[in-house]
Amino acid sequence: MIRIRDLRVDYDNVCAVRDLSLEVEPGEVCGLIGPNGAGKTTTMRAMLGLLEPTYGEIEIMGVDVREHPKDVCRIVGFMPDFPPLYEDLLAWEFLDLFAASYGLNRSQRRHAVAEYLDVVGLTEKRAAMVVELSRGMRQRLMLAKTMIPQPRVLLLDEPASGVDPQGRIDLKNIIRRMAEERRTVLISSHILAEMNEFCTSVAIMEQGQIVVSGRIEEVNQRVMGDSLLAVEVLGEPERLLAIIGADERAGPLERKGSNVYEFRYRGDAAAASDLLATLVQQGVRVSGFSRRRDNLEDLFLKVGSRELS
Amino acid sequence: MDWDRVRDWFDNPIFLKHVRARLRPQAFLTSLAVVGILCLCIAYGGYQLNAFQTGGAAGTLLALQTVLLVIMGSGQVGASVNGARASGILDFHRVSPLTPTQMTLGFFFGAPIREYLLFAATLPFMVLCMALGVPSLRGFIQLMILLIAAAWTVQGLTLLNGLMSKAKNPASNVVGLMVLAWFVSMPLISGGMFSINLVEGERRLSFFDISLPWLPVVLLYQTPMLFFIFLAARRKMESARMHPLSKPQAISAMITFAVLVLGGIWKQERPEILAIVALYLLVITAVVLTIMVTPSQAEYCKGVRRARQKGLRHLPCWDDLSVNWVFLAITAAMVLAAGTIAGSVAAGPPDAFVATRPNGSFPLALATGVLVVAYFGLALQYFLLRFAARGPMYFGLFLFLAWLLPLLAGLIQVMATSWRRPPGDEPGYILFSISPLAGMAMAAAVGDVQASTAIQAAAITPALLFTFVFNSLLISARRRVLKSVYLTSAGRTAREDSSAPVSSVAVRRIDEL
Repeated sequence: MIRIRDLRVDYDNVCAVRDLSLEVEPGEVCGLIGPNGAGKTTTMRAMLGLLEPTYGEIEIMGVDVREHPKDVCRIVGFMPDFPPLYEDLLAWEFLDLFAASYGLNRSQRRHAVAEYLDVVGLTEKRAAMVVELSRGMRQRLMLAKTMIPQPRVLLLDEPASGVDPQGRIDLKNIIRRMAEERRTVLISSHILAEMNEFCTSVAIMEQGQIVVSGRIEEVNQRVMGDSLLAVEVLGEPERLLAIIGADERAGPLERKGSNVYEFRYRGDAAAASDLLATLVQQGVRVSGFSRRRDNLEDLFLKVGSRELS
Repeated sequence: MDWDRVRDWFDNPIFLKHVRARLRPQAFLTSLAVVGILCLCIAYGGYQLNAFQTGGAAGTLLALQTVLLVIMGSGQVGASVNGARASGILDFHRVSPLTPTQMTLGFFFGAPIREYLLFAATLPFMVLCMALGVPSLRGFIQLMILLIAAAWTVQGLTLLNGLMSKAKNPASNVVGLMVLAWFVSMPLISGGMFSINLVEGERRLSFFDISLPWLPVVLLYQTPMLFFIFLAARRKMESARMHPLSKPQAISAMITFAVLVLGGIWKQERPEILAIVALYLLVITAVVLTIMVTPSQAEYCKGVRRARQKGLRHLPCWDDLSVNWVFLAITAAMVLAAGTIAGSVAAGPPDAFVATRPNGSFPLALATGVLVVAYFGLALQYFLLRFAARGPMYFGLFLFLAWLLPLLAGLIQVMATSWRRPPGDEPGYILFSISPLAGMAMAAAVGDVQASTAIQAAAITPALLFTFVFNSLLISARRRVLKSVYLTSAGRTAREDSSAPVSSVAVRRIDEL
């Protein structure tokens, strides 16, 4: 679990993070979203103890980062956007170096290195010099390095940049598996469409502050207000128009195709389900029904434009 | 013996990393072959020139060992740590469970591992030199201890430099190394030959008037130096944003150094020279330590905000983020105390200066030195607080104007008029003494120049003036910074509560201080 209270980080004469508070529960995958310079990386570096906050409290799994930085190191894995590597080592030697840093003995290290090279699909490159690896392979090697100590909390800063499609799928699977194992994941990325697939909560940052945060459903509800329903019917639509017109939560109907109608709906998933049941009971011949949850991209654009205005 | 601890030590991941990267067979064996051939050449030369008995062969071999350990080894330490810092991988070590000590030792002993093994490969040839002539076994052991101690000191300095320097391009280090190697290679060989013969005699040095063999005295000076270098490197390894030494550590370093300086000059011959040399060493040390502990504007602002958050008026004076006033007062007091002792105990009779230099005044030189320490620290703190990132540049300009320009102007004046006036009676010397670099020595009348009242006045007046001026400026710069911090935070408070008048909140908080 991550708990940040009133965090402020000054970077020379610039206030990079201003009075930031955030909580991420175990098993949650939280997307930290924001434009360049919003303070995402600074927040992550402060969480690791690499930057000393001006003030504020950061607790990771109940451990205060400032009081016990070395205890925090054992439970946090960090992967930066541009992974620095020792280029004069072999791939397995690089992993072995960090496995040793986390106190694994020789046999444990041998086992862990083989396992995580396999997880990230680099077994064949085990004996390759790091300098010979492509950008994507380096990113995978860094991911393996991050996972070796089996951290309870993962901080991933743009983990998918430079990774090929297969690597992104692997990454998604790894993150999902981490969440299933009740680990906490904080992930910052600009590829919002992909984050949409595995983030359970979101925190949107602007100019060093969190503009909005919470579970995606709640944030959607709060920011976007309503969701978009699309109904496809067979035959005449009069009955559909009458039912939708009578529902106060539904917005104006818009015809999208010959038999497809779309409208904004101010209600959660359960309300949408009740509406579908009503339509069917009233004899509307529904051949298609979909509720589109607004994605992170829409959310980010809406929050961003609101902040800018 | 606890073998587990020994094995744990060698399991230091950073040490192991360097062992793997630097001892790959192809590269290592090539270097080994080169060193082996060089040693064979030295042995062949020694045989042909009959240089085993004269120490020529052993001296050349010692020069080769010095190049390996001191120059190449130090270059490797600097390049390795600088490269790790530049790439950002050092941050990964910082956020791993490795302690700063493990990291420091890993780089310190790991980076030059190839050079240590190449050095070991030269030892059989040194044994050959011993068997055929010079050095003796005792001389050999003394030399090796001295060489390794010197190598550790230089490697420690390059490690610290690699952690602190702004230049993050390891290539620039290599260029610097090549230039260094070029300039020191010849003196090294002649120095090596000299050292070989030097260690053969029974030489003793005095420390606080106690006569000791030379090696323990040398190690007595090197050990504290190495300790403080290691301490600074360890702190920088822990966090890039930490000052190399905390204020209490810097004061401890100053005390240690003052004791060592006093021990070295205690009741020695040529007291007037030694006292002024001691004064210069004390002032230089104080200045270097001041640079290490003086916070920047951003750090000071951070300290003020942190103090406010904790409900304090300001952080404790020994905090890294506090202004350097208290540190300066203590350091200047230590220079005064140590300088006074140096002036009185360096020679037997207390009036030795008066006897040798009728016009010289060591107390005046000492006062100038103390004031130089004070105004250097005040000026540095003022420029950093007032001009932030441009502060170091303006401070450099101030030092150029106050310290170097008088020397240049004095030199021109002396060169232009020396044929017309007798030595010591020149405006050029007065100009010289305005700069503390020459002023302290000239006020004490060390050298051929008699210290006139004008020279002594020229030495102390700028120091006195700068001390008062920069103290006043620092007070106003500090208030200005506080005002900006409070205005910012008061502005935020006022935005949250529109009834709060911004300026009154800020002014009230500044007044509280």
